[in-house]
Amino acid sequence: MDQRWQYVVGDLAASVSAGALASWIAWLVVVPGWSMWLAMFGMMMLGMVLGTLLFFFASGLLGAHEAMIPMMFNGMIAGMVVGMSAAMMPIALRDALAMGVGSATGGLVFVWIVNAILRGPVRPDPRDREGA
Amino acid sequence: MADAVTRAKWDRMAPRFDSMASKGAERRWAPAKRELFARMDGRILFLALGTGLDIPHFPAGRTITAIDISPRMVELAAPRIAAYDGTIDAQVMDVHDLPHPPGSFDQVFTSCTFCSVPDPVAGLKALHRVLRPGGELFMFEHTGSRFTPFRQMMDMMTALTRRIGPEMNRPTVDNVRAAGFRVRAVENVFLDVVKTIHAIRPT
Repeated sequence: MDQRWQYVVGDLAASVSAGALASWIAWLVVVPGWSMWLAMFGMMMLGMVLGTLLFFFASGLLGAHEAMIPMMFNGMIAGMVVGMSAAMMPIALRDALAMGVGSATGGLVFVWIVNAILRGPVRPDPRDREGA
Repeated sequence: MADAVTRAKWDRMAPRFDSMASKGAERRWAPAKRELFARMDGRILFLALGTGLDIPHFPAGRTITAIDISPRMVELAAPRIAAYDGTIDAQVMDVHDLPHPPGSFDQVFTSCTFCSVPDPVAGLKALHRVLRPGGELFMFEHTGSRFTPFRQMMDMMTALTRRIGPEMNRPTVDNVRAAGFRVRAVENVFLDVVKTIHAIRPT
């Protein structure tokens, strides 16, 4: 993760916002009885689109890919979780938002962990050895 | 002959470019860019100049040939060129049509360039030609990701972004190899998407 505090706080706020928006819309759209597959894939796509739209507002503060990828990803995850839950049983808005925010926070932690693993020097490719 | 479609696209983008690119991305990428550009030495070619957002990250006292395909971008870069403590010779030029003789430069630097060059391998081959044998290519670029779901998200974004500017899913490191360079080092700045690449033209 980026260790500059403004980006830690900013990335968290951006992902939580994407998760909250995606979960609210999924809660509005999906009702019990929806096909689970439709709820899952439909709300994943919708969540990703909503995350992308929010990114355009956040990019001026938080940057390009560092903001875009987590916001798309966490909008997708939150939409999927709430969409599937709402397809199974009626849920309160407060619970839907809690699920969305919680899953987006978990998604951001996942992105931070993957970034911590990938960030830095990449192992040399055998094609780049002298004489290869 | 310069690619008129690409030139017109970036000319249209030029007046809005700073507000789109400078505030967030440039601040966030500044440390990585400063570290990369600190290696500038000798006869340097820089692309793409854009509105000169990268110039404040250049080390002082260098003599740099900087090119961009868009005349409007180069025009808007003038104040940043004037403020640079060194020499920047800014020229409107398409990377596919570099007029410089072979081996004209010791180093080439690129900054978020090969997401937008229409034929990236041909563009990189042009850079290979103008570098001296043993010359160095340094790139700050964003590429596609090898990892699902990031790869799929970048593919979907590309369908949208290629209409207005960059593509988000290019295999730039492979393109560098395909152009005849030997990759010395790749360093990921964010995930495996934003990265610096150091390659050499083999002797």
